[in-house]
Amino acid sequence: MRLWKLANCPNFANAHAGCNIYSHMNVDWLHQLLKGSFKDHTWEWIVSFLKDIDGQEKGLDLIDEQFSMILWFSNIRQFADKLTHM
Amino acid sequence: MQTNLPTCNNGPVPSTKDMVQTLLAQFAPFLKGHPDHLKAIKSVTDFILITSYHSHPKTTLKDLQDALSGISSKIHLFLTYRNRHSMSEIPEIDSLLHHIECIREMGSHDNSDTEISEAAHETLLKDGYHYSQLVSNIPQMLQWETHPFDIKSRVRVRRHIFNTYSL
Repeated sequence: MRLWKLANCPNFANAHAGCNIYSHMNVDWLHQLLKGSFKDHTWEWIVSFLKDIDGQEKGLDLIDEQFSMILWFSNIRQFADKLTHM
Repeated sequence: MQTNLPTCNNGPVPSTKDMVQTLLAQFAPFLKGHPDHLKAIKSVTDFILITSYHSHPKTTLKDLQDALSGISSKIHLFLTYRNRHSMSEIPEIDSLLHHIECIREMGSHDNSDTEISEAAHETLLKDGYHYSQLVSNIPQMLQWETHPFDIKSRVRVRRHIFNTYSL
């Protein structure tokens, strides 16, 4: 189950004078989930995998084309512009 | 009175959640010969979408656990795209392990809506920095932040005085 593991390093706010860092609540869980684990890592891996399959430029073009063909439906967003160039 | 605070709608820039919602359907035609990669993507998107639910009965927690085990069993397929060919030392991926425990103890992740902080970051930090003199900018940015709220409160007080004491 535990394939990944953090490096054993001390917390930088361990001996903070003003507060106890372990009693704090983490803000923006979902931001870390979306922008961190998805956008920074998983999206990059998928795009580079498609580049390996279909070729360097053709993979990106295929992604843009596919995302611009989303049909109109409620709560689903259309990506008219080139998604990978943003 | 016009304040510079933006409204928190989806805005012109597509958010990441919109991408996550349709991601599996978009990549399914490309990955026809690679079902394991498709399963890895499915478990990642499942995990992200289920964590943003507003309430969590036992069934969704079980779904979360299934998604997590799917990620951990299939994530080695993307090992070649990591720098040092190891999946360790990614704090974002490591934090996925704590979501289920956190939901069990503290409740669901609502109120951790990301768009408020994103929108506030646009005006309160970036525009404030832009309008400051770039030298000792932090006091200027703080003053710039409170300025529209000061004006708004003064206008409210004067309107109250005008309404109550005018004939």
